[in-house]
Amino acid sequence: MIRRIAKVLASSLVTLWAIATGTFLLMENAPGGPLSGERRLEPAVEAANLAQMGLADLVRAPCDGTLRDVEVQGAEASPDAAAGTVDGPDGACELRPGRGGTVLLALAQAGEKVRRNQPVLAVRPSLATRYARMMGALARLDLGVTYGSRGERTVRENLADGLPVSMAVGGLALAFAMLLGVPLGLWAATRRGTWADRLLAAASTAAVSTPAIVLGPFLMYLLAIRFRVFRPGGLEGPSDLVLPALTLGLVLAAVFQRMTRAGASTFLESPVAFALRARGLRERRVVGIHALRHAAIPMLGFLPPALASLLTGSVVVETVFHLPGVARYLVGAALNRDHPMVMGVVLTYSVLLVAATALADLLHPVLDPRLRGGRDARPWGGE
Amino acid sequence: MKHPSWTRGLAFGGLALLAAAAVAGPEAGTLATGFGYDEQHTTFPFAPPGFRDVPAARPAFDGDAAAMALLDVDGDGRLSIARDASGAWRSPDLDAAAAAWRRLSMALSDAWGVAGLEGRVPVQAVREAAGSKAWMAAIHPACDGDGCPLAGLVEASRFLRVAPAHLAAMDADGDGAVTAGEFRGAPSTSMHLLGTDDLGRDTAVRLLDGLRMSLAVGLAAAVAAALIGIAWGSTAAMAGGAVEAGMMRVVDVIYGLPFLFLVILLISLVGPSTLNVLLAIAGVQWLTMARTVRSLVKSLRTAPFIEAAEVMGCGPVRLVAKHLVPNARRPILAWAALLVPASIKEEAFLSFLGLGVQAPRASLGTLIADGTGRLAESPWLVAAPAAVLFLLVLCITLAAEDA
Repeated sequence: MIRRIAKVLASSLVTLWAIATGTFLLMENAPGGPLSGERRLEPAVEAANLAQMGLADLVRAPCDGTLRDVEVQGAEASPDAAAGTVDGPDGACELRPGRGGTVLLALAQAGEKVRRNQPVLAVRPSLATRYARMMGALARLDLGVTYGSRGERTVRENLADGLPVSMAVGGLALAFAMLLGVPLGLWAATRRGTWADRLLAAASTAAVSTPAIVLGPFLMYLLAIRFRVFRPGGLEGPSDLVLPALTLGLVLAAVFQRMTRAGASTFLESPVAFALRARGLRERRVVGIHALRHAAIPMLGFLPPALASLLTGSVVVETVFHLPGVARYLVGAALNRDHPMVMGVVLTYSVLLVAATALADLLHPVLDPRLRGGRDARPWGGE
Repeated sequence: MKHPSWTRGLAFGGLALLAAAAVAGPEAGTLATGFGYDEQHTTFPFAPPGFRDVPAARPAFDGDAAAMALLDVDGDGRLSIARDASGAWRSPDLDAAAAAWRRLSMALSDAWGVAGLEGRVPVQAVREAAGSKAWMAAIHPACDGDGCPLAGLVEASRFLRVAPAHLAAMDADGDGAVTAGEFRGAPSTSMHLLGTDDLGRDTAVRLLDGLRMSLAVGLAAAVAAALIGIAWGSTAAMAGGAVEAGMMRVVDVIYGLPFLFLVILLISLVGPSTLNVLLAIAGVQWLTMARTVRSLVKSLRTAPFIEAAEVMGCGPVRLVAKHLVPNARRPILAWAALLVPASIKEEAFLSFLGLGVQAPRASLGTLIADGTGRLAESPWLVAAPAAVLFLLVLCITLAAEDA
C-alpha cells in the first residue's frame, strides 16, 4: 500500500511539474505583454510598471544625480521601501528592489524622476532564472501578483477571496447530484425496462445536453423572477447558493443516475446477485449495499471529470448568478491579459484535479477487491 | 447508449431543420422580414415579440384614405412629389412629417424606456414636435393631462412610414401630387417575430446568425480536433516503444487538466476572437480521439491484410492513410460526431463569458449573455437562443449516439 501511495504521489508531482512548465512556456511565448494594447507609455513609466508587476528586477537609466535624491513615498511607513539600491557603472543608474514588496513603489517613483525621453531599460532576468524563480515561488505557494492591480494584489489574495464561494457552490452541487442521481439510478436498475426507467433515461439524456448557460437563466427566471422563491442573484445568505448549486448539480445528477443504473443493473443480473439472493439476503440489502458498491467502482473513475465539470460549470453559474467566486477574477483577467491571475486559477484547479485523480487511484482497490491482488482477490461477475 | 426508435426521427429531423436554418437562415430571414442581422431597425429597444414598427420590405397598403391627414402637415389636401437631381423621388410634405416625427422620437424612446407600450409622452413634447395645431390633433387621438398614450402615437407613426417611392406608385394621374382620392393608406409593417434587443435589432435574424456561427465553429473545431487526434494517435501507434509511451503520456497529462481553463489560458494569451476560440477548442478536444485512434490502429496492426500490405512494400504513411484509418472509420466517425456537441457547448460557454465570438458577430453564447441582464423585463432575449442551443446540442448528441 505504501509503495502504491508513493507511486501515485510521484506521478501526480510529475504531472503538476509538467503543467507548471507548460503554462510557464506558454506565457513566455505569448504575443504581446501585459502592457500591450495600451497607449505607448513614457519609457520610465513602462519600466516602473514592469518592475511593479514583478517582471523586471532591475531598472537601468542614465544617471544625472537626481536618482540619488529620490524621495520615496511611504518610506517612513516601511524602511524596506527605500531599499532600492542605486549605483552607477558608466554613468548609468541601476535600481534593484530590496526585500519588501513596497520597494516597487520606490522604483515607480524613481522612474518618474528620470529625465523625460531618456532610454530607461527594465532588465528582465534570463529565461532560466525566471523559470527557476517561478518554480521556487510555486513551491512556496506564491502565485505572483496580478497585472490588473498593478501589483497591488497577489493572485493568492484573489483566490482566497473567490475560492470559498466557488467551493461552496461546487460542494453543494456535488452533494445534490449524488443524493439525487445515485438513488434514482438504483431505483431505475430495479425497474429495468419499465416506463419509469425509460422516463428517467430520457430525462437524463435531456439533462446531460443542457448547458449551464441554458439551465441557469431558466431556473433563475422560473424560481427567482416568476415565483419568488429565491433571490435572482448576488450572495447575501446561504439560500442564494441553492439555485447555482441546482444548476450545476442537475447535469451531474443525470450522469450519476446513468452510471449507477448501468453498474447496478449489470450486477443485479450477474450470478453473484443470484447467489446472494439464494443465501437469503433481502432484496433491499442486495440492491442497497452490494449493487451500490459495484456501481461505485466506475463512479470513482468518474470523480476527476466530475470535478472538472463542476469547476468549469461554476464559472458560468457564478457569472449568471453574480456570485463573488473565482469567475469574477478569472474572466476579467483573461480579457485583460492578466496572465498570472489566469495561470494561478489554472494551476490551482490542476492541483485539485490531480489530487482527485490520485485519490480515485488510491481508493480504487479499497472498493474493488480484484485490484488488491493476493489472496483477497475475489472476482465477481459483470463487467 | 440505446434510445427508443422515435428519438432517432426527432434527432435527425431536428438536426435537419436546425442545419437548414443555419445555412439559409440569416439571408432568408433578412429577405423575408427586411431586417439585417446587425442593423438597428427601431427606436424602441427591447420591443417584445410581435412588435411592429418598420415598413415591410415589399409592403401592402391598408387603403385607409382618411389617414392622409396624418401626412399632410400643411393641410392643403395634396402630397406633392418630384424627382430630385439624382432621380430619386422626393416629397416636401413627407419630409416635413418625417422631420416632426424625428423631433418626437426622443420623447417616444424615453416613454418606451419607462413603461414600454403603456408609456405616455408629455403633451408639451408632442406639441413642440408637431408645430401646427391641426396636425397635432391628427397624430395624437387621446391626449390628457398625463400625456399622450405611446401606443396611439406608434399607431399613427405607421403612416409616416410612407416613402416618396410609395407615393410615386400611388400617383395614378402622374400630376406630381397624391390627392385624397389617390391615397392608398399606410404600408404594412414587418413584425419582429422574437422582439428586438438593446439596440433595436431584430432578435430573430440575430438568432439565425448566431446559430450559424455556433454550428460552424462547433463543426470546424470538431473536424480540426479529430484530425489532430487521428494524426497523433496513429503516429504514436506506428512509432511504438518510447515514442509511443511519451506521446500518450502527454495526452494523459493534458487529460488530467481542467480543459476549459486551459482554453481560457490560451485565449487570454492570444486574445479573444472567433478563430482563436476555434483553435483553442480544437487544441484540447483531440485527446479522446488520439487515445481511440491509437488503440484502433494498434489492434488493426496485426490483421492479415495489413501484414499483406506491408509485405507488398507499403510505407507507414500510406499504410495509415490508405488502410488503417479507413478500416477504422466507423468508430472514428462515431467519436468525431460526439466532438461536435462538446465543441458547440464549449464555444457557447466561452462566448457567454465574452472570451469567444466578438461583437458585432453573434453566437448563441453571446446572445444568451446579452440577455441575462434583462431576464425579468425581456425574457425572450434569453429564451430564444437558450432553447435553440439546447435543441442543437440535444439533437446532435442523440444523432451521434445513434450513429
